[in-house]
Amino acid sequence: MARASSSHTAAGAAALSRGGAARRTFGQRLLAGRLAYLFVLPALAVVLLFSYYPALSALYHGFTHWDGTSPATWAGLSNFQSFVNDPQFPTAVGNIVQMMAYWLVLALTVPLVVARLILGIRSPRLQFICRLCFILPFVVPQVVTILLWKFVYADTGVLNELLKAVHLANLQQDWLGSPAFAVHSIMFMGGGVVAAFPYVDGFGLLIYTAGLQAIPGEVKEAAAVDGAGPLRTFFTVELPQIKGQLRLILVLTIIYGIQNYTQILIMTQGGPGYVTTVPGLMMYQDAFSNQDFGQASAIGTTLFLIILALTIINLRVGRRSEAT
Amino acid sequence: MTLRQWYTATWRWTILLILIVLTLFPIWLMVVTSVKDNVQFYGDFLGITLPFRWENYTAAWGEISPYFVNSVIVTSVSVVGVVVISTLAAYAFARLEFVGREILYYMIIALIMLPGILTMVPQFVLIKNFNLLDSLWALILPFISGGVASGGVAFAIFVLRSFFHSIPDELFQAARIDGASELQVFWHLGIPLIRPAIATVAILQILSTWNDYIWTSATLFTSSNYTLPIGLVSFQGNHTTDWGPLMAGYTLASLPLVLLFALTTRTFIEGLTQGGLKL
Repeated sequence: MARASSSHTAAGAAALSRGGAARRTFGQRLLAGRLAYLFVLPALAVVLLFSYYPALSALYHGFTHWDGTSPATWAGLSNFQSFVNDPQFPTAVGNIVQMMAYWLVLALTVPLVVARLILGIRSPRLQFICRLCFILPFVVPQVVTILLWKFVYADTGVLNELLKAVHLANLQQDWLGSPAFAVHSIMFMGGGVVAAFPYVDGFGLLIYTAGLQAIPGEVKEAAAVDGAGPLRTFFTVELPQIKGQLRLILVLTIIYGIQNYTQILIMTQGGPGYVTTVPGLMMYQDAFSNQDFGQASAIGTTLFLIILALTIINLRVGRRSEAT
Repeated sequence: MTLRQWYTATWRWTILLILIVLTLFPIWLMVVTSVKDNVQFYGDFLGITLPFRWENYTAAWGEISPYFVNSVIVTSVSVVGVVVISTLAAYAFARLEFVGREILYYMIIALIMLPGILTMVPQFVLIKNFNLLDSLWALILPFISGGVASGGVAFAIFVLRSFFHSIPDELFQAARIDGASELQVFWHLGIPLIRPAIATVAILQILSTWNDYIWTSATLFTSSNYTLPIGLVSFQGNHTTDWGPLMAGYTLASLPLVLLFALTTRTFIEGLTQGGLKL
């Protein structure tokens, strides 16, 4: 306590005489800030050890042969070459592009339409209840959602039972086990990157709602006076006003989507064969099945650079469109 | 109500109700199946059937309770860790003056953009070298730092600092003039004023920690150490067609999140719908 109150007088004096602070020596300023350094220290220690060090280590070890135990040896670009030349590579890239395209379109449209529909409801209470219904899936752990979908797609699972019930038993499939259907089954369920079918993501819904609510009423009234119907108003007046929200969801979906392969890991492990693999899963398997940490670091580095580039492009394009 | 308004309302509610039913269907299926035996399930898998098979819950709890306890430990320790560490740092960054403040702040905030996929492999080797693999610490430490799962201190400091920043300076000056020490100002003035922000940070951390599968599956090997996400997958492997106990286990795993949301939904919905989050 004595320590704290002495630093109080120092900090208090600094606050009371702003100009005086600049005249003190560097050493005195460091000393005056000792409580602050004490406050920042734990965060800094954690971040340096568990974020900065691993990040730099990955960027370096991507260029080495490394099994995580014996010292790494320089490998040049060979890890990157063997990643690109891996027979799984074209499949993995094709899958991630296909899945991301589908999920991005869904994340940018479905919650937005629902947000708009809910805002049209007169009673604030009913609006709240509707939003609540779409937020409710948050209470189900992600793994449970994925396992429930595994149950939907199982041999004697929900989907096949439903088909039998409507006398379409001839359409029954091994939804996750057949190469023809596995990728599309995983795409259709959503569940990781985008909310599970029917894709009304609670988070996106709230973000879009905030954006739509912030549009001044006069703007919409002016459009209505000019004779624009609700659809026209939506596309010409409201949509341009929520670009910021759309961009946020776009960036978040890309960042999260490229990294997330939880559902593939749980449902198919990339199989049958490797038809459902994605680059992230290739990294996981290189590291934790093959102990090839150098190769895994190279894939991690590549994905990091792709995420970085896409994010920068997004921010640039955003800024330019605002300038014009 | 004009004919046109009636027409619009009908369409609006038809679409919304269909989407609500489809969204809530998995939850419905999970809960009703959790009290059925397989005969009841294959007889009528959509509806409620009597009698309820509560013994499914006893069976499920017997198997998943160790995972449940581990999940509670990992989640509470990492949430407390993130909240304590980031509240202290955020306060210093927002309200105290010290050499290097800006640089250190941006150094930490930059990590929000650092994807976990880059850090995951060296983090694994680091944990391995600390001899922490296959222990709950293998999850707790990286979860506090963030990255492998989302959340972590960087994002928390970003949110908390902006809240500390928005408190009028006069309040702090007044407290100091009244003779409060810097620590007292922090504890009795700063903390109570940003409680909603702390709650938001805690909720996000709980969600990401409770849900993490990828990192957990790489670092835990012994089933007595499993947390729920990985424990549930192995539980599912043991009960591929015992739908009742399986769904009872899933329902039990959801309960802490149900409780969390029952307590915080209003804050969560209002916080996000009023805040102007965009890029």
